[in-house]
Amino acid sequence: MRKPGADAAHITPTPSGWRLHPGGSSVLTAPTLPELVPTLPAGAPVSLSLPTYTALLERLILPAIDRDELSGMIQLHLEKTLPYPVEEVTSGFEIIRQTESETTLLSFAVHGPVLEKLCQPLRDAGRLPLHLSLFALDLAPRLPAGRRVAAVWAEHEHLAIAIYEEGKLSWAYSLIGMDVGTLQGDLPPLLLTADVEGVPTNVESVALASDCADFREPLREIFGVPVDLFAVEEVLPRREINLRPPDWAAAANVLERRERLQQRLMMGAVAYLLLVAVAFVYLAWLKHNLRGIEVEIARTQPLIVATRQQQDRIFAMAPAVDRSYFAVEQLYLVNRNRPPDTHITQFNSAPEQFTVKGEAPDGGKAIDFAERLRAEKELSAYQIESGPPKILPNNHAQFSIFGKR
Amino acid sequence: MSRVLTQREKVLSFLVGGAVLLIVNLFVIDYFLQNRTRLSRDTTVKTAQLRSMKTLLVEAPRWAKEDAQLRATQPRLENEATAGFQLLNQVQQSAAADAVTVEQPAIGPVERKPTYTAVSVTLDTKSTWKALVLFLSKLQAPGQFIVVENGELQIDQNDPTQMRGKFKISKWYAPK
Repeated sequence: MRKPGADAAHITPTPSGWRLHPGGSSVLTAPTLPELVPTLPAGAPVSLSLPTYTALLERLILPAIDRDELSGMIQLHLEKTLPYPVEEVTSGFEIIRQTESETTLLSFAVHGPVLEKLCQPLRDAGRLPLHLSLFALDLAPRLPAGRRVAAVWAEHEHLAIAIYEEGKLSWAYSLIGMDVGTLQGDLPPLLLTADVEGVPTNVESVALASDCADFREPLREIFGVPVDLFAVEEVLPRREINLRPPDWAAAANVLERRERLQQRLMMGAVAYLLLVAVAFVYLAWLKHNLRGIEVEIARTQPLIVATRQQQDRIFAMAPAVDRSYFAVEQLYLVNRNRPPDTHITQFNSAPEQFTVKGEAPDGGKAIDFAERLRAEKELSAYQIESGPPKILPNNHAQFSIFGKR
Repeated sequence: MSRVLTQREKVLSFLVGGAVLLIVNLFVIDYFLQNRTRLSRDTTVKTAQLRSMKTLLVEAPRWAKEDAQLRATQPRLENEATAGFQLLNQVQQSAAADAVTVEQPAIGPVERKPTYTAVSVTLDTKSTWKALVLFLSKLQAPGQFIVVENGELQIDQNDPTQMRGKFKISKWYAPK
């Protein structure tokens, strides 16, 4: 996933490999793209300057018509001249000069399979360039404006020669080899041919790549003009030119969608793991709390055991020390709640229970006696039970009341 | 050697991966819920237990004081053989003082419990209601450690002014 605002990683050709401008860091070089790929900054969009020999450059003079019509005419021209289908080509053009009657332009085209082969290491690494330009075109803004300049640089064991008019690339050619002999032997006839084709070879100065200083003297001899050096590592791809094939954009979109999906899945996984971690931390916290309570219980337990033993002993001894268990106390409370004219005929007592049997003038008084005992606060420790009174022949009621702790 | 998966293989791998993830997830959720339930339940139970323990501890000094008092005042059994006679004498003297007639007195066996050793007597009584109440209240005065283990009172069939009683009376000595 590309980080918004991340610096672009620019790749440009060198005499024997590639140069990476990581954006913000120092320039790196590598002999091959596969070796350069691991050094690409993560997330940075990649742009690549193509070497001159990968492109087909043609200087054309066409009628003075608008850009769309010019584009159509160039397309027709490419269809006629190219040895492969024009659909396999990514092309563009730059108008060098336009008069009322004619337009002089430079057409450039790159064959798709060549690009595919060249950029395969980047594709394999999922870092297909978002932007493809031509080094010869990228150099133009670095040259003196308003002058006719020849530029020479080395790329991938080739010597590239280009002529610029009014800051525009006018003509370019790539010589195989990078030695002075090649230059001295091949350049003069090449310039003669270019001159015949209408290319203005009478340049005012020559710009030589800083890493090709050996060619300075031979170039001065050939062109007869001053030769200045330009910092080749400062040349970066131009944004306004993009030779990226259209299907790469679709592939890049797919890649981007996949990366976005992967990132979302990753974020989901991280969120899930966080949730699981929080859940387990919560369990650990619960366990810690429980452990704390258990420790406090264990610490308190001996005191509790001692207190319980004291309690049990006091409860067990209650019939001997607690008045509420005494027979006379039970008898007193029962007698205190006895309704008038009600007689107790039998009273059984034990520390935990008592039974009262007697005779009341009527059933109501018998029931009232039981109710009074139930309401007696000092007998609240007892569960008072009484059956229905038995009515005697003399209409008196015989009752039995049972109290138990 | 790796190769690019076909669409069907991708779908299948997503399904298998999803199923595995789901199963793992179910295990994790089940583990979490089971443990949370157990820990929450244990925490609730233990918290209640601790709370009741603390409540008891607040009362601990009172229980300790009462226990100490009990231990200090509970009589010690010096001679097991004579303790029954002593108790019977005490009961008979008390009965005589309150005009309660004692009949069929008998000394019971010594009972040993973790908190006391009981020496008991059984006897029948005949007296008025008032005399019986006085007799019992003096007999079970505080500090005597005398327990009426069983008492059966009823009006005398021949004389309704008299009460007849059957008692088992014990004295609880400190355990040996």
